[in-house]
Amino acid sequence: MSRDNEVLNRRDIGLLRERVSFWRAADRTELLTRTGYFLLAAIMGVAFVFPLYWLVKISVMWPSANLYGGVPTLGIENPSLANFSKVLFEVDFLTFLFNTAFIAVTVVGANLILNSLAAYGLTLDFRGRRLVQGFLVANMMIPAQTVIIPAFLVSQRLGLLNNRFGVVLPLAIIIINIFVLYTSFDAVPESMIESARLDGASELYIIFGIYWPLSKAALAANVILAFVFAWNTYIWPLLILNEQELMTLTQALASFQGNNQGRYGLMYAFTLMAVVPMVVLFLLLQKQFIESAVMGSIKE
Amino acid sequence: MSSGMLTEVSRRIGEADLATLFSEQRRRSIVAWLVLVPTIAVLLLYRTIPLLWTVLLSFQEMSWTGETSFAGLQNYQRLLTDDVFVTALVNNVLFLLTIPVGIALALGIALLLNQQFVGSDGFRSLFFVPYILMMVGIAVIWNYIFKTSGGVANHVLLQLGLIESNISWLGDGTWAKVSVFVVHIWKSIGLYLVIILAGLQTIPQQVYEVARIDGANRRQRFRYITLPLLKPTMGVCILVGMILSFKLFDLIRVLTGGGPADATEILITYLYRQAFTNGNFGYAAVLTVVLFLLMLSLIAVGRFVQRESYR
Repeated sequence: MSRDNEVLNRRDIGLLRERVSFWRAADRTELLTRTGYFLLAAIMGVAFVFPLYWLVKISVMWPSANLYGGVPTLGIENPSLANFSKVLFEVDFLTFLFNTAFIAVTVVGANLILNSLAAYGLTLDFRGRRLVQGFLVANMMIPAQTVIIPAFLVSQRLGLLNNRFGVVLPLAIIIINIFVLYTSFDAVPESMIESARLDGASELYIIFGIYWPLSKAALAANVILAFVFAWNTYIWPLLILNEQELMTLTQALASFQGNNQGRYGLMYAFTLMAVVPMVVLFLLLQKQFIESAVMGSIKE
Repeated sequence: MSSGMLTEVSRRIGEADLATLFSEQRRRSIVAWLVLVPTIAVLLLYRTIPLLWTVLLSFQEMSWTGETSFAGLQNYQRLLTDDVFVTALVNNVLFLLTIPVGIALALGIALLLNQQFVGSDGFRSLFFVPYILMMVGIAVIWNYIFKTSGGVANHVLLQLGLIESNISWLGDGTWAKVSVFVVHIWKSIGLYLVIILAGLQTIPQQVYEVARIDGANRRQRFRYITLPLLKPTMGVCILVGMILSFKLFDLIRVLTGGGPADATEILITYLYRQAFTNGNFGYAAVLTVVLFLLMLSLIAVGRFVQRESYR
């Protein structure tokens, strides 16, 4: 019996040993491949992000990097904020920042309200619904950029030249956003809306009190897409605004770049300050940003 | 209660129902149109009317003061003798190549990040950052990187021994096109990447398991499972790429200004110049018509590809 036990034990131990070493080997290869993937991604990521590193590096260099003085070294030594203060006090940065923020916030508000109204309209069963849908899809096929000349003429006739609202209005409706919202509204059970109507809820309450709380993802997509469009837009301010005190960051950046070719540090600091708000927002809301991008790209 | 009265009552009830039904429907129609009016108005003003106006304008001459005169087909004839127009049209098509190249690169990165190692989400965000930056800012950054002397691109390439002497990135027609190409892909890769990653997430893991049991190797699994199932995603990417190509206006205007010697001019930058620099609104309208037809056919092709990809 004891011998039997011994034999059994031996066999068991052998099996166990085999198993353990098998797992170890698997773990090892697993770990190695994962590390390999990580390294590969890291190499690609570093190459990819290098221009942004360079942007930061040149911005914090002082004495300011001179374009004609050869290439600066890779590392960052004695960082200084001198370039940024130059941008603040020489370039009227705060005015451009205010103009951009004003336009962006207004565009986001307009999109939220107008797109919600339109999406609500699409959920209603009325004569001409198909017509409206067709109209929206047809207009989606007209890229805004291809109609800039007459759009400029329209703004001129409306007296919106050199007026911030002249930039807001063309961006106030993002058609894809309407469909994203409509899809979300449409997923709310009809019975819920009907019973609210029977209880005497107003149309506005149905939109903002019932649909809105149930469409958080779609609303986030709306806000983010509208904000990114408005913050980064260049062609609209270029068409509509030409007084310096109304200029947006994109406009100012583009025109200053033409006049300050040699001032490498200044231009980089200006660029960095113009993109930082968006980057910070992105870092805070990475998931929503990426979801919105995917949502906005998939139109059924 | 006589039967006559009964029928009378039921008739009235029916009428009342019909009446309320009608008024309810009408009310709903009125509400619907009311909430849609602002959207329709904005789109009419900034999309529909401008499109029709463009067509009208293309048969007219317009001065800076806004006075128009009929020009017939003169503006259209001008296309035939305009070399810059041909360059711009060719470039428009050429820069479309950023779409397949960008998608291919994004697919490679997506397959890597889909392996779910530590920090793969962080990498996804990293590649996405350029997409959220303003194109004007991106153009400024790369403008200095591409400087011939003192630019970091040449410096790095020289150090790596990839080039013998400084490349004139923005001073030479071909290299300027390459520069625009590189920067545009750098910006758009992040968007393709997140869309492809979302597409990869929808492929059920069991399919891979079954294939593995059947002895399909890695390459076969990619070739016969991943690619076919990603087709719809690719369709979306192509469509998105078309939309992204409009961003080229900002990039080209700030990075190269359409130069050197019109080498990087595309239709949108060229028509902007014709209208707002030279004041040729009529001719710019013709260029717009050409651009619009080009875009429309591309989007039609894109939609067709997407629809086919679902079969």
